[in-house]
Order: sequence, then C-alpha cells, then structure tokens
Amino acid sequence: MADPAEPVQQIVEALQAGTSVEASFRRLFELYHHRLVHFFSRRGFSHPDCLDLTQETFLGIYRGIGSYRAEARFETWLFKVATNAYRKRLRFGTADKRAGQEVPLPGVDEGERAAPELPAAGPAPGEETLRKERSRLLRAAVERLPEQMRKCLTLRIDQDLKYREIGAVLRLSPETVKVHLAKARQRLKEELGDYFDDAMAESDEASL
Amino acid sequence: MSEARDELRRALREAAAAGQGTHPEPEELAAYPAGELSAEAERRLEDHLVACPACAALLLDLDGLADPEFGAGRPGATEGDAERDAAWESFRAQIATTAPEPAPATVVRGRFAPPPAPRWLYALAATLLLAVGALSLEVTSLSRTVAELSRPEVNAPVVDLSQGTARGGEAARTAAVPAGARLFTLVLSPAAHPPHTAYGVEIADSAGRTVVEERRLQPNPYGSFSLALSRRTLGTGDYRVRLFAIDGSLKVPIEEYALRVLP
Repeated sequence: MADPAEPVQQIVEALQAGTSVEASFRRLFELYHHRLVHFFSRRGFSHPDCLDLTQETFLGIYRGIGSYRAEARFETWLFKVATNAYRKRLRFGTADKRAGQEVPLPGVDEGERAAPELPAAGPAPGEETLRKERSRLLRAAVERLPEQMRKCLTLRIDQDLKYREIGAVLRLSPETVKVHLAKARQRLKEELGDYFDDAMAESDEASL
Repeated sequence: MSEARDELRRALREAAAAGQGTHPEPEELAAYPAGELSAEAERRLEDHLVACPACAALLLDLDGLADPEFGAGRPGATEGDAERDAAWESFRAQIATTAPEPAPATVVRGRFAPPPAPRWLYALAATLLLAVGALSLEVTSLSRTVAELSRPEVNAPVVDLSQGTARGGEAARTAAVPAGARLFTLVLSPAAHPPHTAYGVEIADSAGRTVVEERRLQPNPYGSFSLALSRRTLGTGDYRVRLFAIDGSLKVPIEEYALRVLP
C-alpha cells in the first residue's frame, strides 16, 4: 500500500529519472486508481467503461511522464489527461454501448431528449394564458438580476449545486454566494410575489 | 418538484443559454481556478459553466482528484483494492511493451553563465566574419594594383599602329607590345579620312570579346590618336584594335589594327 504522506512529487521525480519505474508507477496506481474510477463514474459511464478509461488515463500518464512539469500540480495534469480520455470516448461514441446505457453529451438538455409528449388533458385556455404571462414576467425579472446574482441562482436552481460548489465554480466564497442568493430571492419576491419564493425556499434546504 | 421551481429553472436556463459557447479545453478548465486566464477568457468560461452542468461538474472534480477520499464512499468502493490490483496486473502487462517519453535534459548553468544565444545569432556572426575576410582580400589586392600603377615607368613603350587594314587593302601587320611593359601607349595613325566630330576605339581579344571601349578620343594636330593602357587591361594575347568615327548613333569604321601583347 502506498504511503499517503509520500509526496506525489517524489514518485514523479523517480519515474522521470527512470529509477524503480514499476514500483513508482504502482504507487501512483494505488493513490489515484479509485479517484479516477469515481471521476469517470460521475460522468455517467458504466463500471467496465470507468475501469477502461482509468486504464487509458494511466497509460497516458505513463507515456507522457517526461513532459510533465513540476510547476503544475500533478492532479491538474491528471485531470487534463482524464478529461481528454473522457471527451475522446464521447466523440467516438463507444461509451456504455456494452452496458446499453445512454450517456448524455455535455450541454445537451435532458428535456430535449425526452420522448415526445403524448396528448394529454391540458390546462384550461385561461390558465394557459396566465402561465405564459407568468413565464414572460419571470424571464424579464431573471434578466434584470445582476449578473453574479443570476449566475449563483442558476447554479443553485438549475444545477442544484451547494454554496461551496457554486463558490468553486464562480471563484466566490460560500458566504458571498449565500448573500447573492438571498438578495436574488428578495428581488424576485418583490417583483413577482410569493409564487416563486417557495421554489427558492426549497433550494435553501441542505444547500451548504 | 414544484411547478414554480420548474418554471424558474427553465427561465434561468434560457437566460444562461445565450452565453454557453463551446466547451472549454481541459487546459482552460484547469487554468481557471488558479486565476491564470485573462479577464475576458474567465468571463467566457464562467458563462459557459453556468449554462453547462457537465463542464461545471468537471471543474468541481478537479479538486476531487486531489482528495484521497474522492469516491471512497461510492458503491463498490469496498471491492476497490482487489479490483485495483487486477487492473494493475493488466496495466503492467500493457506497459511492458511501451516505453515512457524520456524526460527532457536539464541544463545546469553556472551562477554567472549567460543564457544561450539563439542559433540565428551564430549564423549572422559567421556570415559577418566571412564577409570581413573577403573584403580584406579585396582591399589588399586593390592596394597592390594602386601601388603598381603609381610606380613610375621609365621609357614606357609607344606602340605605333600605322599599318592598319585601310592602307591599300593589305592585311594588317601585327604590332607588338614588348615583353615586361607594364604601361604602354598605342598611337593610332589612320589613313586620310573625312573629318568627324567624335571618334572611338574598340579592342577585342582573340575570341572576339570587346575588352576596351573608349568613345572620347580626339585626334592630335597630326591626325593621330593616343591611348594609354596597362598590362592589367590588356594581358598577354592577340587583339584587334578598331578605330571608328561616331556619327550620331552610328559607328563608322576608319581602320583596324592587329596588336599582340607579348608575355
């Protein structure tokens, strides 16, 4: 088992120097194998595909170890190699065919992939008009929000991210994110009444 | 999930979609948390992350890879060690036939060692050195010529070219420049001819190439022409000397002489 305290830099230096290559690489394997499997599983790949992509990433690390520069964090380089493997797999469309599981391409709206809706008993004509008007007002109010406030709200409501995660995405502190969200909630409430306030209150639960 | 929340989500998503753009490269994603992007690139990336859950999730996992606990609680994680060991054996077999890229050589410089000069600078220096060498040789050669021509020549020979082709239709008799003469004067004495305002002379070597051409000749009171030359201009060999009058753009032949410069 690898010593978790062993700086990865020492392992990489040994690899670059060509000393005890197999033992050094084994230590990298022990340190990062499960993290990479998890990284790929979070992208929606089946378990066999995750193992396959992890193997591919380690092969990329092994082949390119000479080009790694110590100024960058090793995990940053690992991230680039893994992300390239992930995107390459998506491009060539081999992901999950064996498992028969569908992996959404980044940016593709799940809603757009849904089967066509069956004709159903829709809302009454008056109700539909009201809904459209509400949507128009909501869209206008959202667009009037200050940029950072709107971004925080989108990440919270649409992507369901926690304050800490929103802070990481926008490079803000969780406290700042919390303030932005509170202000956004206040502004939408002032403009649109209580209708959306409950929806935003839901998002505050377990958001830290 | 409430209908209000769905509506709110839809409105936010529509507002964010305008700034989605294209997916960033992994390098750009990795540079963002470190603040290494320009303000413009940073803003573009933020707009994309807000509109693209997949890229936002990727960015969040950048830190995850540095966390030893990342994925520790996932389903099947407890079987991780056996699975990893099996993967290692498979990987080891794979790399047995693959060599890693060698690390680039590290250059260790002394404390005061200057940085290496670019290659083009060496090429420029070499070219300049060659040019200076060639110029030195040329200057030396010219200096010798000037010295040689400046040296007084006692009894420089005068070669009388009076037996040209125009005299009675005979073949021109060959006049000779004596051996060893560095400077000599040709005196061209043509037969009687109609006066012209301008005269010239051409000297061609045995191959017919013109080696001297002088267009500003003027006759002396006796109707002869003098032309001072050096051996440098006319080396050893046979030549034809053609005297002509200049009539506008026409050259009117007057007489032709044969000349031999002896070694």
